[in-house]
Amino acid sequence: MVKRGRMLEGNLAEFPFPSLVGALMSAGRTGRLWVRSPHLEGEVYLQGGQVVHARVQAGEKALEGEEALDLLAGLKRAPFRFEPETLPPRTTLLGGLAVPVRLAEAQAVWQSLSLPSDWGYVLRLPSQGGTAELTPEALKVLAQVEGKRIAEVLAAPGVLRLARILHTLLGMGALEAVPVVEVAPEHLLVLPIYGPGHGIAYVDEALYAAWARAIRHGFRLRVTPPGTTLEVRPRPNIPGRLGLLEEDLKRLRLRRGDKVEAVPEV
Amino acid sequence: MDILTLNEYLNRIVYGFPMKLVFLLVGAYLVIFQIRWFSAPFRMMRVSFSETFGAIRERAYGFGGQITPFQATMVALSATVGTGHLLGMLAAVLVGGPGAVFWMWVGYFFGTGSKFAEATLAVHYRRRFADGSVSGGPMYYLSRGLPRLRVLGFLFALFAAVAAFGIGNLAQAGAVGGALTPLGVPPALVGLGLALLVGVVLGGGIMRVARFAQVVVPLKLLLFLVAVLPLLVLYGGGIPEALALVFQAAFTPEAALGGAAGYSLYAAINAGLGRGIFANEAGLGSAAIAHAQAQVDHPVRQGFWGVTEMFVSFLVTSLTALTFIASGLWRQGGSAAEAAQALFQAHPLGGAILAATVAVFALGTMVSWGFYGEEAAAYLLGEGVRWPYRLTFAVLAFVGPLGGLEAFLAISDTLNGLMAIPNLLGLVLLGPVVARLVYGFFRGEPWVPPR
Repeated sequence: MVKRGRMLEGNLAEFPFPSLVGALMSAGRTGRLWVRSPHLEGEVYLQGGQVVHARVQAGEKALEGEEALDLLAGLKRAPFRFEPETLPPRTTLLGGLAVPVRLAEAQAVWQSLSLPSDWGYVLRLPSQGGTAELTPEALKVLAQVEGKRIAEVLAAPGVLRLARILHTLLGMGALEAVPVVEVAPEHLLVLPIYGPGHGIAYVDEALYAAWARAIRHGFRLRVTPPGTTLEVRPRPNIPGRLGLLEEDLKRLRLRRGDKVEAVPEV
Repeated sequence: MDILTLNEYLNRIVYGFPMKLVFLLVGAYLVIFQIRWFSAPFRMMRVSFSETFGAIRERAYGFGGQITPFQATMVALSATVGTGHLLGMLAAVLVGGPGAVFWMWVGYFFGTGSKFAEATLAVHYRRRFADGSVSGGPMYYLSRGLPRLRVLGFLFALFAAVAAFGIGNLAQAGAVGGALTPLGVPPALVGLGLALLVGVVLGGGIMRVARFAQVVVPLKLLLFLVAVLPLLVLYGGGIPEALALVFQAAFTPEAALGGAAGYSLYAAINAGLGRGIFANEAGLGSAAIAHAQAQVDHPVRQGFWGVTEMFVSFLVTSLTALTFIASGLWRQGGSAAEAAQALFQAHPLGGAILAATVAVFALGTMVSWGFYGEEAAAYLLGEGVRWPYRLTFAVLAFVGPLGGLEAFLAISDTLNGLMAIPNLLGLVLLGPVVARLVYGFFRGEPWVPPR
C-alpha cells in the first residue's frame, strides 16, 4: 500500500478487501474507497470510521449495500484508491459492527469456493456433452449465464448463493470459464505436413508462444476458410505458415500455398 | 611419371566405365534401400510435384536459409544446364548411337537418388553463422556427418575449389569466346565482359548469385526452346521412329542400327551413362552447395527440389537427343561441334541461335561454379579468402576466351571427376541418415538439426 499525498492506493492482491475496510474503520476515516478491476467497479464510503454506502457496477448491472460488500469481499485482485473527505451520495448501510461481521462471513464463503480469480472470464457450456443432475436453481442459473462474464453473473442479488452455484457447476464440468481472447488474426500460408493423423494445425513456435502468453489458457485454432477449428501445436522453422496434415488438406479442400486466416479460440 | 601423365591416368579412372558403374550403383542403393522411391511411387511423385512446382508461387519467410528453395534450385540448374546438355549430348549419340539415350535415362533415374540425398544432407548438415549466412554442401556433410572421416570433406573442398577455376571457369569462358568470336566479337572483349559480369555477380554473395540464376535459367530454357522447337517441328515426324530406335538400339545396337560401324552395347552404355551422370552432376556433389542455401523447414523438402533439377536437366538433354536422332544427322558421324553446326543449319536463325544458347549456357555455369568454388575455398581457408577467390575467378574469366592454360584445364577436369569419390563414399555412409530424415518427414515429425 502506498501513501501518495493524502491518498492511499494499492492492490487487493496485497491488501485483501475485508482487512482494508477494517483498517480504514479502525482509523476512523472519512472518504471513498474506490476499487476498479477491468470488468467491475466498486466504491465504499466511510464516515468517521463507519461504512455507510457501498456500490458495485459490472457491465450494466449494479448492486448496492450489503450485497455490494459481499461481492467486493470476493475480489482477489484489483487496484484500489482511498480518497479522503469524499462524502457519500446516500446511505445504504447502517455502519457499526454489522459491516465487519458481514465481511468476515463473506470472506469465509469466498475462501471455501474456487472460482477463477479473473472475473473477466466468460462462462459457456462445455463443447463435449455429458449428463449431470442439477437442482432447479442450478439449472435456472445455467440457462442464464451462457456467454456472460463471471463479474456480470455475480453482480446480481444473492451474490454468495450465485457464487456457490457457479462453483458447483464449474466443478462438475457443467460449465466452463474461459478467457475472452482478443488476438488479431494471422494470415498464414498453408504448408503440407506429411504424416498420419488429422485435426491438428501446426504454427511456428514463436507465434504459438506469443498466443500462449496472450491467452494463458488452452486454445484451439479457427482456420478460415473453410471456418473449421483444429487443435494447434507448435513446430520449429515455419514462420508465416500453417502446417496441415495431408488428410486435413483433403478434407478442408486446401492446398499448398493457400492463404488462410488463423485465429486462436479458447 | 610426370604430372600430366599422372593426370591422364587419374582422368581415365574418374571418367572411366567402372566409375560410372559406381555412380549408378550408389544411386540405385539410395533409390531402392534408403529413399525407397518404390515403396509408394505415386505418393512420392505427387509429393515431389507438390513440394516443387506447387510451391513456386509461394514466397519463403526465412526458414533459416538465405534464398528460396526455388532460387537455390535455379543456382544449381544454372551450373547443371550447360554446354554438356547440347554439345555433350550430341557427342554421346555420335559415340554410342541412339541406344545411349536409353542408358542416359537409366543414369538419370538412379541419379535422382544421389541428387535427392545430396540436397537433403546439404540442408541437414549446413552451418548457420551469427551474421545469418549459411554454408553447406558435401564438405559440411562429410565432415559433420562422418567426423572420423573428416578428411573427405577437406578433399572434396580442395577438389571443388580448384576445379571451379578450370572446368567451371576457363572451359566455360572458352565456350563463350568460341561461340561469340565467329560473330565478330574480339576474344579480349568477351573476356573483359565476362570478368566484369562474374566479378559483379559473385561480389554480391549468394543473394546476387541467386537473383542472377533466377534470370539466367529461364533465359537458358527459353533460348533452348527457341533453338530446339523449330527443329522439333521440322523433324517432328521422325520423333516416334527416333524413340523406337532409342529402345531398340539400347540392347542390340548392331541389329537395330543395321550394322552401322562402331556402335556396340558397351559404347551405348558407356556414352549414355556418361551423359546420365555428368550432365546433371548427380553424385558429383556440386549442386548440394547451392541447395544448402535454401529456406526450408525440413531438409527432405529440398531433396525434392534436387529431383526437380534432375527433371529439368532430363528434359533438355532428351529433347536435344531426340531432335538430333530424328534429324538423322547422327549417321554422318564427325565431331559434336560439326554435328551441331549441321543440325542448326536447318534453323531459321541459323548458327546464331546456337552461339547465343551456348554462350548463355556457359555463362550461367560460370557464375554458379564461381559460388561453389568460393564456398569450398572458404571452408578450407576461412571467410577471408572470399574476395581473393572472387578476384582470381574474374581474372581467369578474362583469360578463358583468349585460350591457353590447357594443362591446368586438364588437371581441373580430373579434379572435377575426383570430387565424386569422397562425395559418393559419403552418400553411401550417410544413406541411413537420409532414410531417417525421409521416414521422419513422412511421419510428420519436425526436423531437428544436428548440433
